[in-house]
Amino acid sequence: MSDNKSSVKWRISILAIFAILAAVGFLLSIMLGSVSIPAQEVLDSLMGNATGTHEKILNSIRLPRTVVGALVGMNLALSGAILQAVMKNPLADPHIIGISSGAGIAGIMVMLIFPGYEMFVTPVAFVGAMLAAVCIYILAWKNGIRPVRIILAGVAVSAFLGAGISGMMIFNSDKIHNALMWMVGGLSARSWPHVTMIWPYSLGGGILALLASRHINILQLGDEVAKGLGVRVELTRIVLTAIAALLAASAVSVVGLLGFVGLIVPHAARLIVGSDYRFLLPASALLGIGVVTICDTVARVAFAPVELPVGILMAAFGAPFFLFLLRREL
Amino acid sequence: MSIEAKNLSVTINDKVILEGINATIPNGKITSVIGPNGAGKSTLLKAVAGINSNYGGQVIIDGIDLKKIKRKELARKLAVLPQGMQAPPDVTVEQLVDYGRFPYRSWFKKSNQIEDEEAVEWAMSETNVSHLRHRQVMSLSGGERQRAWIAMALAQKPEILILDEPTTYLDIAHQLEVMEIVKRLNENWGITVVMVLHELNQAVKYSDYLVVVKNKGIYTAGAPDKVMNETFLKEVFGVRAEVFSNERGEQILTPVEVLR
Repeated sequence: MSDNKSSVKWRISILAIFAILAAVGFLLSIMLGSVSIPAQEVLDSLMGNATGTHEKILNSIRLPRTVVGALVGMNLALSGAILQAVMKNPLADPHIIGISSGAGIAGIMVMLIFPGYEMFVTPVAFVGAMLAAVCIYILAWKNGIRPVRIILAGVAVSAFLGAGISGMMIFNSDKIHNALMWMVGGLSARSWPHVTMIWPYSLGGGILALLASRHINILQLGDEVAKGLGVRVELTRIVLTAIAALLAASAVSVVGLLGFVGLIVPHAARLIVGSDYRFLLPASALLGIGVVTICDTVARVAFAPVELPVGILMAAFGAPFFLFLLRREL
Repeated sequence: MSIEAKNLSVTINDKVILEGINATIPNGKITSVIGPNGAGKSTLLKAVAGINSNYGGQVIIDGIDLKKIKRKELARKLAVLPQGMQAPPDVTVEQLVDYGRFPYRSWFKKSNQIEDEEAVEWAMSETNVSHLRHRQVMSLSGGERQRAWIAMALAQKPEILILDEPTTYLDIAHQLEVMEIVKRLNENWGITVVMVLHELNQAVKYSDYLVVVKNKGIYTAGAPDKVMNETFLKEVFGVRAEVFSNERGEQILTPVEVLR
């Protein structure tokens, strides 16, 4: 079993399976909905020679939403995978560095206190997320960064901002429906402007993360060993945390506080491909794409015409599946 | 490669750990740093190895100030194993040893794969872990694991090998095995070894040079037969012990009682 898992062949086949899963999820998400569109038409449209009758639905509703879902899944999964190694803590995820609470308070402030300016939710939430992350970093700084201090500072700052969120929701309890939907995280009505908002971070962050994969591997051996091998540990940790923060902030500001992907997807990927980040990062990204697109499809279709926020569905099915993986100790 | 500490002092969290250390580690020899718990042995090692660069004074390696040497460049000359290493549970011995090639790799230029492979094979055979290559590091026994980590350090092809308590927690056979590996590396490949040891008889048997750390400073340094005697043990460790030579001419010490 151990040999099997660490062999390059095994890991590449797993990557291939995850890639197929991601592609299938992507296609299903475009095909299925209140109107089902045949696969042939979807593929034609993707190739750019669309003639089908559903072209408008495809191009202005299904495709952008699916792309947003895929990018969000990828960003959150990559962010979580990076943070788990950098913070040397299996519970580290984008929440830990304040991304969710920062985006949360900023986004909800716009929705509740300045209704009518909803088009600013995304950029304001992004700024809020990054401010919270920077704030936690500064609070945790004392002759360098220790992961435990970041995690504790993150918990404290998140609790503080959480109090603000709750307060705002109580004082504006007549108009919290949108805010609640956003707290859970969902993809409904996400379109091309959101794609524009998120893809540069996916591309840049994804490439940087892959380039850093060997450094992340060495960081997993502990700070002292890493320094002995020639890694500038402090600098690497700051840069990687910044990459993780940008990836997560771009995702969270677009779809709301989708919590589950950043924590569980990297763990699930790790249980299957192991902890070599040259494989774990692409595996997490692909699994993130697959999980979010498939879950969003189910969330749209299963209870039609009612649409569930994808966050609820993901937590409801993903958590038991993750526990199953954990028990089997793949 | 010579190592020299000049007026070295280390303060951690406002507490002075080492003060005014002046020491020269002889080139191509095995040097052991000994002294009571909390004397600052590991701290000295970390400063000299470049793991903790938060010190006053200077560390000079081959005539160059340590702080002016790039991290990766240093890692190609000097390998260091701290205490209590941890690897992710699925990392195999071969993968771990391969991580020792990290300082030879960069984004901009492809590393020499044949050289990398040769270094990894050599490191594993020197430490007798070749047959364990596909085993997970965390599933090995203490002695095997320690040898795997030493192999990782060797894959760096260092001229200086720094080990912090390489034999602690090992049974006597595995302790001797590690010491024999260290001795072979020094004799066959001319690697300068600096290590912290607690077991004084081993320090005497395997070292060419002893550095004794006590009360934030260096108590004495020199060849084992010059350093090791009853007065020394009384003054440094507060222990009454008998030192005598066995029929092979080796110094043996037997502790008798604590003097406190």
